[in-house]
Formats: sequence, structure tokens, C-alpha cells
Amino acid sequence: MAPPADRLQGTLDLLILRTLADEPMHGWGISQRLHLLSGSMFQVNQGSLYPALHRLEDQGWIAADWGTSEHNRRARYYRLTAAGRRQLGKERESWAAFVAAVTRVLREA
Amino acid sequence: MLTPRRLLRRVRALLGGSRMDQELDEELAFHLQMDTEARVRYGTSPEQARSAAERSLAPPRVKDEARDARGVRPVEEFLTDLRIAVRGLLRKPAFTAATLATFALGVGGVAAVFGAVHGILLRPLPYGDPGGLVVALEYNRRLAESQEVSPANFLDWRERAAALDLAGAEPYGLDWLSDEGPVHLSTWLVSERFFDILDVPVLHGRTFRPDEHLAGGGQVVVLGWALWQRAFGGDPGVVGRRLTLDGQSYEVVGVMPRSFDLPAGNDLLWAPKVPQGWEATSRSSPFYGVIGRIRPGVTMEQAQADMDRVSSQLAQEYPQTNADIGARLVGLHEHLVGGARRGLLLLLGAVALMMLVAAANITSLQLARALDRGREFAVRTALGARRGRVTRQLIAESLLLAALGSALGFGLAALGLVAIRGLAPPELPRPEGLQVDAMILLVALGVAFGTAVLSGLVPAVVATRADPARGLGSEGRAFTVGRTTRRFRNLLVTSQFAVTLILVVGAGLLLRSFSALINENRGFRSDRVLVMVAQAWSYFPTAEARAEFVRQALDAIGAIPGVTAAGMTTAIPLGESIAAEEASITIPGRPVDPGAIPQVHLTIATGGFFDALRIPVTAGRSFGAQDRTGTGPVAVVNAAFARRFFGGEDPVGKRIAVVARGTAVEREIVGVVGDVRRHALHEGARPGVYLPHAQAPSGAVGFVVRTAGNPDAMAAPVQQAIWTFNTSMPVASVTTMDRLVGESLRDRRFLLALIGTFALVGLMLAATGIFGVMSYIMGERTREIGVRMAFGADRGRVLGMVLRDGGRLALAGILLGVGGALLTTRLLTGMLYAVGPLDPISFSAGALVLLGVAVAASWIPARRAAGLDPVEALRAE
Repeated sequence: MAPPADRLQGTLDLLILRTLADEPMHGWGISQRLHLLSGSMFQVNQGSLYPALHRLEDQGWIAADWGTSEHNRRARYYRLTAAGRRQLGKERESWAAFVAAVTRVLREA
Repeated sequence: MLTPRRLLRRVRALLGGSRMDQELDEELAFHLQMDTEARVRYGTSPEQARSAAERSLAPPRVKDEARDARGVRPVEEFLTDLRIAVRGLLRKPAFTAATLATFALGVGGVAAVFGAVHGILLRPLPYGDPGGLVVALEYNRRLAESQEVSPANFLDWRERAAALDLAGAEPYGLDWLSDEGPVHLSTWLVSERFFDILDVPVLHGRTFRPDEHLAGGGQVVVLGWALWQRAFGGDPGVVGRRLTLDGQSYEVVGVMPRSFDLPAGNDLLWAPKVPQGWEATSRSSPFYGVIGRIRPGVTMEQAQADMDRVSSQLAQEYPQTNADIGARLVGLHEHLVGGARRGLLLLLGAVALMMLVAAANITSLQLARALDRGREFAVRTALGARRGRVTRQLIAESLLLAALGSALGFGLAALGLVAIRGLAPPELPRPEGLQVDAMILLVALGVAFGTAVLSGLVPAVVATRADPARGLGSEGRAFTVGRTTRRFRNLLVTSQFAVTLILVVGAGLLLRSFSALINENRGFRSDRVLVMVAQAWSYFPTAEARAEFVRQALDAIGAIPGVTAAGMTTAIPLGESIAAEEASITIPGRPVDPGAIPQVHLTIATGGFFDALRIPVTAGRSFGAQDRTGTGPVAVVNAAFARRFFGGEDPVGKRIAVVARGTAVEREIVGVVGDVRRHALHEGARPGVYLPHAQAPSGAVGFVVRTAGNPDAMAAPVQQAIWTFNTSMPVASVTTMDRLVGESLRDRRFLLALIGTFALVGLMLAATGIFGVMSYIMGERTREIGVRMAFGADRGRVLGMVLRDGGRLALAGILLGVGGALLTTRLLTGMLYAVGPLDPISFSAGALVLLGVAVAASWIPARRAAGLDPVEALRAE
């Protein structure tokens, strides 16, 4: 199994990819959406968010373009690439397997 | 995984670093703005909202990590290191200049010599599939020598050999009546398939058709590149032009490319060989150069076995001529460059030694610098710089030095190759290979970076092993040099002296050989003598006409004001061969062993030849007007002849039978002359006989003219005087005896100049090396010296102490070097004259020179030490 740090980072990546699966979004929007979707449980640290976005961009899973925000400001919009969509599928499965494994351990113990 | 796309992104991230930073700033500013607004919406005051948002964003860290995520941090750090390195090097101009100069000398030398080795020895031949090309030679078992091939043997070889395809080339000459007067053109008559076998496409036009090799097949020539450039300005329109050669009209049908230079360069032309009737039976005059291409799938051994089969068949069929004649195949490449290999590899070895001295110096310089910077590194380590970071910084500096050093070295190599081309002896094969190419750049880069890495390693270890506490300690000098470091530096200096001694001794041996050769009694005086050659055979077809021509031409030349003596010879000392120079002799009244008739050197000359070259007549007389057809046949012999055949007796008045050109004539010896070095200054004297031209009128006429002033100024009048007897006869090879002497020494001068240069550079480097180390040691010992002086040591004593220290280092190196030289100088054996490879004078002179250099280089630091004021010195630290 992957070490916890990787798993945590992987979790953020998975969440970002999932968020972007619906529509392109800027960084602020992503953090707000995560906050909302998680029932206020995740307060994504911006210090993690932007490095993660750049890392995902570097890996080619997301792409970024400058666009205009809802308040008519210039903002950097991230969208999922085809490779990112595939990666999202893979990460979903791996996450499900992880959760199932943890659940099983908790139930048996 | 680094896919091309990601690589592209990284490059863009690097190049557009500032633009991406800007974008990131903008993105983060947007985030900040949105966050602040959101907080305001929830009721926080704008100021508080702003600062809360800023705290949560912590921009500098976000920025750094976002940038790290782009994967360009190491590169950016490296660029920073480079910037620091540039600044650091600029701050230490003396160190930088010394290191770069050392780099340039070492790298340039190695790259230039390697360039020559590559261009001449390693570069593939410019022919199609050169591995399959061979030279076929006759092997004369009786003389145990390889020789060219006789025409009839060539024809039979070509017909019978199954394993390879053969073609022959015969040296010839054609006289061209150009617009500027008659010119002699080097020509090779080549058999069918000559160009096909070498497999090089023609540059313009075509090569020969099979029917052109038949009698009456048409008179055509193909031009060599250099001749085409020189005589026709490289005009492709020359194809189809007709030239008057030997009084007949020939058509130029093609031009070969520059790289095509067989059998003897490309300043020549090729004409189709038309077999002559007599050649089909001629098996004892080997003059054909034969090349071959081994058929596909056949090995060299199989081809040689095939030739052995053919030659033993011929030995059985023609036992009289071929009993002792075998066939030998030599790879074309080996045949062309084999002779130059030893000298070139020797040079490569010498320059590699010089590079070693240079590398030691660079290491030493780097080490000194690392020690000086100990404090800087200690501070950085104390502030938390990782050890790897400090090492990387040092490596960046080394790489920068290497990059600059290889650039300078490449420039120097280019100059060096020009020098090598200028100095190279004419017999050096493939001179076109001596030019700057990518290979030289590669070598320069490789040597420079290899040296930089190796020489940077030691200082890096020393610097990073430093304990910050010690480096920052109260002692002013950041680093106390560890014993290991000091030993290492001493070792560097010692090995520099050892290696340099080998170079200096080698150069000394060559120098002594060279001066011995120059001062050797060569048997003639070369100053102010003009020589030139005419082949008069076809212009004066009869013996009488030739005798008359030579007599009248010499009279005419002698009458020119400024000419003090004029003669002719068929063998100009140190000049090219222009006629047969072998004769066999018998002495009437002595028994003749038919298997061992003595062969002697033959020269046909006039009396003026001995006068013009000041060859001493030691007994009797030389030739005069009385020696002509109709008077008694006479001969002059040289001192070696007199010794060999007459021992202590006076040969004058004795009779000998000289067989030249198939006829034996009994002659009276009328004089004895001094021995003359014919082919090379280092050759020994060989018995020789001289015949008067009037009694043996050769068409090969080498004019030898002694002048009162500058001989070159007399060249044109002498040529004009000869041309008054025939306007279309070329008079060629115009030069002076001094120049011929110089040319004959060229190969030795070449080697001496290069190895001498390497030795001098090595000496300079060793001197700076020991100077640096002694200065450093003195700096360290300032306090100790102060103490010594406080206790009463006088200046002389301190001076002596320092010089002794330097001398001891050098002496250890010199002793090691003597050992190394004893083992290596025998490689020079073939290139020495009158000195042995273990010549004690060269060895002791080399050792003294090095010791002198060591003392001189230690002098300045020693003086500085002796000039110390004890009080100051004790306070110094």
C-alpha cells in the first residue's frame, strides 16, 4: 500500500480532478466547491492547492487558460484533459479499494 | 516519466520563468481578492479580512512550492550557481587567468595532436568500402624486401587471382605547353578498372572507357583536384578542353574530387595505360603500383593465400626471374599511414604528458582556492546549506572553467593545426586531414570537462569535509591545511616535475640529434647553390645531342654574371631521384663471384658539379674537357669506394669495369672525391662511382649552379639560358641546396618543434605549480618563520630553508622522472642521431634545467619569507 503522505496528496489530487469533472473552474472556485461538497469538512489549504494544481498541470491531467470570472475579473481556469479523465477513473477505483480495505480492517479488528 | 511534452513545458517554464511567475502572482492575487471579499461578505472588516486572507495564503511559500511542482528548481539553482561562479571568477582575475591559460594550453595541445592523429591515422579513407582495398606488392625473398610489381607479373596476377580485383598505375610525366611556358605535369598511367576499384564518383565528366586502354584508343586525361584548381582555376568547363601534352593533343574528360589522391596526391593527372608489347614479358623491373579490391565475402587471409598460389605458379613457370618473388597484400590504409603512425603516436604520448602537468596545475589551483574559501563555505554550512548544495556550487564553477577552457583550447587547437600543417614533413600522408573538425571540438570538450570534474573533485571533498566550527573559529585563517591535503599538493608538484623531466629529456635528445646532424660533415657546401632539373631525353634524342646540349648549356650558364661555378649531375644530393643510380662493378684482375657482383652508387656528372658543391678532390683530378667520346674512358670514385675496394692503396690510375645500362665499360680511375650524403644527412657513406657526362650522356640533367649572391635571384636567368637551346623543354624543381638540406631535416624539425613546445609548456606549468605551492606554504609558516627569526635565524638561513624545501620537492620529482625517462626514451631510438636514448648529457642537462626552474620559482616566496619582520610575523595571526 502507498504510504500515507502519498495517499493524502493523492486524495487532494482525486478531489481536484473530481471537482473539475463537472466544469472548468478557477483555483478559488475549486476550494469553495470542495468546502461545499464536503459539507464544510475540507478547508483546503491554499498552500497545498496551488502546488497541486501546477503538479497536475505538469502531469498533463488538467490544462489551464485565462478566462473571465463571474465578476468580470481575469482568472485562471483549470479544466480536465482526456488523460485527466482517465486518471480520475483510475484514482476513483484505487480510492474505493483503499476505503474498502480500511473498512474491512476496521470491521475485523 | 519525462515525456517530450513535459520536457517542453519545463523548458518553457525555464525560459519563460519570469512570465510564469507573473502569472502565478496574478492567480494568487485573484485568490486573495476572492477570499477577502468572501470574508467581508461574512461580516469581517475589509482590513481584517485582507490580512486573514494573506495569512492563509502565505504567498512566498505557495509560490516556491508551486514553482517546485513545475520541476525546474534544480535547473534554476544551477543557473544561480553559475551566476555566483561568474562573479566569483571575476573577483579572482589572477586565479581565473592562470586556470584558463592552463586549460587552454593543455586542451589545445591534446586536441590539436589528436586532431592530427584522427585526420591521418583514424579517419576512414575516402574510398568506397575502404576496408576491402589493398596494395599488392612483390616480395623479394632474396633481399627480404617488398617492392613494386613488374608489368608481366601484374598482368598475370590480374588474370589469375580469383579472390581480388587488381589495377595498376605507372608513374609517368607529361610536358604541357601552357600559356606560361612548358610545365612538367606529374602523371600516372592507370590500367582498366583503376577508378572502379577505388569506387569514388567523378567530380566532373567521366573516367576512362575500356576502349581508351587500347592502342590508338584516343588520347584522354583525368585531372586531379589540386592541378585543376592550380592550372585551371577550378573551372568545370575544362572538361572537353584539349591540352598539348608532349606535343600531342589530349582531351580532358574528367576531374576527380579533392579527396581522391592516389597513387601520389592530387596535383597530377591520370591517363589510360595502353599495354606495350615488351611489358608482357618484363618480370624484373618492378615499377607498377598495384591496388586491389578483395571480392565480397573473401577475407584478407584468403586473398593472401590466393596470391601465394598465383605467385608460386609464376615462380615455377618463370624460375629465372620469379624464383624468389612472392606476392604480399597490405591493407591500403596501413600502406598509406603505417609509416607515420609511430611519430604521431609519440606526439600524442608527449602531449598527453603535458596535459597531465596541466591537470595537476589546475587541481592545485582549485585546491588553493577551495582552501581560501573555507570560511565562506563554513558560513554557508553553518547557515544551513546542505553539503550537496556547496558541492554543486563548486561543480558549477568547475564546469564554467571547463566550458571557457575548452573554447580557448579549441581556438588554440585550430592555431596548433595550422602550425602542424606548416611544419609537417612532405612525406606525412593525408595532409588534408589536418584541419579543424567536429572531432577536435569533441576532444576539446571531453578533455576539458574530464579535467574539470577530476580536478574539481578533490577541492570539493576538502571544502565540504570542513567543520564549520573550525572554519569559523578564532583563527584568522579559515582552514588549517590538513596533513593529507599538504601531502596531496606536494605529490602534485612532484609528479609534475617527474612528467616534465621526461618531456625535457626527450626534447633534449631530439635537439642534440638535430644539432649533430646540422653540424655533420655532409660532404658539400650548400650555401648559395641553385639547382634545377630538365629531362632532356625526348628533346635531345641522341647521345651526341645530349652531350652537346649539356656542354653548351653549362657554358652559357657559366657566362652569366654572378655565377661562379656550374655543373650537372644525375643525383642532386638530398634531391629527388631523377635517373637510375645503381651500377655494378668488377675490377680487372680480381676474381669475380657471379652471385655477388658489388653494387655501387652511380652518378653521371661534369667537373663543374664538384666545383659548384665544393666537393673536395682528395686525389688525382675531377672531370675536364679532355674527357669526351674518343678519349679514354675515365671514372672518379668516392672515398668510401677507395676504402672498400682498394684499402690503403691509391686508386688513381687503377682500372675498373662499370656496368651501367647493361653495357660494361672498362675505365681508368682518375680521381678520388669526398663522400656526399645522397638521400639523407643521417645516412652513412656508400661506395660510389662518377662517370663524365660526355662519355655517358644521360638525358636526366640536374643543373647545379654556385652563385656569388642570392641564388634565387639567378633562377630566372639560368632557366632562360637553358631555354635558349630548346623552348618547349620544362626546367623544373627549381630550388636551392640550402632548401634541400632544410627539407631533408623537416621530419626531425617537426618532431623536435612539437615535443620541444610540449616540454617548454610543461616546464612553465611546473614552474607555476611549484611557485604556487611554495607561496602557499610560506603563507602558512609565517608565524613559524617569525619564531625562528626571533630566536636568531638570519635571513640567509631562512632563504636557504625555503629554497631547500622547494628543491626537495623538485628533486623527488626529478628522480622519479629520470626513472620514467630511462624507460621511455627508447621509443625515440629511430629518431635519434649520434646520441643514444640514454645519453647522459641530455639526462643531466634535463635534470639541471628542472632543478634550476624549481629554485627560480621558489626564489620569490623565499625572498618574501626572508624579508619578514619577526615582530610583524608573530603578530600576523
